[in-house]
Amino acid sequence: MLWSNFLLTMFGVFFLQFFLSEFMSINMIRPDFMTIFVLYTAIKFGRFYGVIAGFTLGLLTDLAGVSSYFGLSSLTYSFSGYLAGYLKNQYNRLIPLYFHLSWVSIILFQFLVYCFVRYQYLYETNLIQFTIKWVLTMGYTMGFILVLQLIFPFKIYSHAESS
Amino acid sequence: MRNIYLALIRQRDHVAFFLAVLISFSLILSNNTQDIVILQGKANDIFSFLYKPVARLRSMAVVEVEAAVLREKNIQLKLQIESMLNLVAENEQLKNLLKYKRESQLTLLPAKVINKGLTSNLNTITIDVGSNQGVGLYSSVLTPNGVIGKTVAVGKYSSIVQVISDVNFRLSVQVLPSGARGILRWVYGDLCEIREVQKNSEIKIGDRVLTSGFSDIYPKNLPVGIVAGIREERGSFQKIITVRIAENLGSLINVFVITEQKDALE
Repeated sequence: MLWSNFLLTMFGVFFLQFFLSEFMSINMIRPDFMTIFVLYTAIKFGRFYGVIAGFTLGLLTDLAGVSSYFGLSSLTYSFSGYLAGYLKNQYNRLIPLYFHLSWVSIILFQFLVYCFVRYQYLYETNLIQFTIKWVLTMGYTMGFILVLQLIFPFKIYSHAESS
Repeated sequence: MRNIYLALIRQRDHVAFFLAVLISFSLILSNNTQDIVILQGKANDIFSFLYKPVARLRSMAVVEVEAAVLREKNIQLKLQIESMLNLVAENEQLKNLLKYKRESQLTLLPAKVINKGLTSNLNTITIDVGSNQGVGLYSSVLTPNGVIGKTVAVGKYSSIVQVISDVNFRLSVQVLPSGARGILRWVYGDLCEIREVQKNSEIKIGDRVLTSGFSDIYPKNLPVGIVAGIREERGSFQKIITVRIAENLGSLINVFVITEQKDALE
C-alpha cells in the first residue's frame, strides 16, 4: 500500500468528519466516520495500519477540541484498529456470522469504553439511560457501516474469495 | 542490534499498538498540564481557521430564523423593561433604606461558536475569540439563558470551551428562594443533578437555580436552570435535585464570555 494514498485518505476522512459531523448531528449525537475508516483500514491492511490510522485520527480528534480525557480517542481508536486487524483475511477462515459478529463486537466495545468514560455519572446513577445513550451513540455510526456494507462489503473489500 | 531491529520489524503490529496505548495513557494522565493546554490552544487556532468559512455559512443559513426570533424576543423584552423599570425604582428605594449598595459589573465579550468538536457526543465547543480579545483561561461562558461552560484552552484567536455536558464539569449553585447550595453536574440531555442538598431544605419544582458565587470562575447569581425534580434517598441526609438547563446545547451559535468581573460591596 502506498503511504501517500493512505495518508491522503486518512486526512480526507478526518476533514469529512471535521466539516460534516456537525451537520449530521441528531440530538447531540454524531456519526463517527473515523471509526469506520479505522475498521476498513484494519480489515484490509492489518493491525499495523489499523493502529497507525486509529492513533493518528484519535490524536487529531482530541486536538480539534476536547476538554477532558485528552488521549481517550487515540486510545479507543488504536484498540479498535488493533483488534479489527485480526480480521484481515479471515472472511473465508471464519464462518461469516462470526466474522460479522467480531467487527460488530469491536465497535460495541469501542463505544462502550468511550461512553463509560464520558457518561460515568450516568452509568452510576441510571444504568438504563446509560445503555440507551451507548446504543444510540453506537447505533448512528453502525447505521453508516451497514449502509456501506451494501456498497463496499467487507467480503469484497478484504479481497476474500466468495465461498 | 540488527536482531533487535528485525524483531521490531517482525512484531511491528504489536510494537505500534503498545506505543499507541502507552502514549495515549500518558496523555490521559497528563491532561491538566500546561504543555497540553498550550498544545490544544495552538492546534485549536489552526482548526478554527479551517472551520471559520463553514461556521460563516452555517450562521448565514440560520440568520433569517434568528432574526425572526430576535424580533419576537425584542418585543417581549420591551414589555419586560417597562415593568422592570418600576421594580428598579422600588428596589433602589429599598436599598437606600437599608444603606446597602451592591454593584456587580460584568464585561461580556460576544463570541460565535465555530466548532463543536469531533467526538460522537458534544462536550466542547470552539469559539472565535481568544487571548487577543482578552479571553483568559477559565473564563465563564454563558448565553442569555444561563451558564454553559468555561474556557479550558485559549489560543490567540480561538478558545475551547468545556460545556456543561462534559463529564468533568462541576458548578457550585444555589436554589432560590430557599438558598440551598450544592454542586451541579450533568446527567444527560438537558438534565443535571445537585446531590449535596440538605434534606430539610424547602425546594419546590420550578425553583430557580443560580450560581452560588463560591467560585473564582463564575460570578454570583448567573442563571443556570430550574428545578425539574426532587427525590430523597433512604438512609441519606441529603436529597437529589434534578435541574433542567434552559439552553439547548446542541444548537449553540452565539455565546458570551465574561472577560472581567468587578464585584464590590460598599
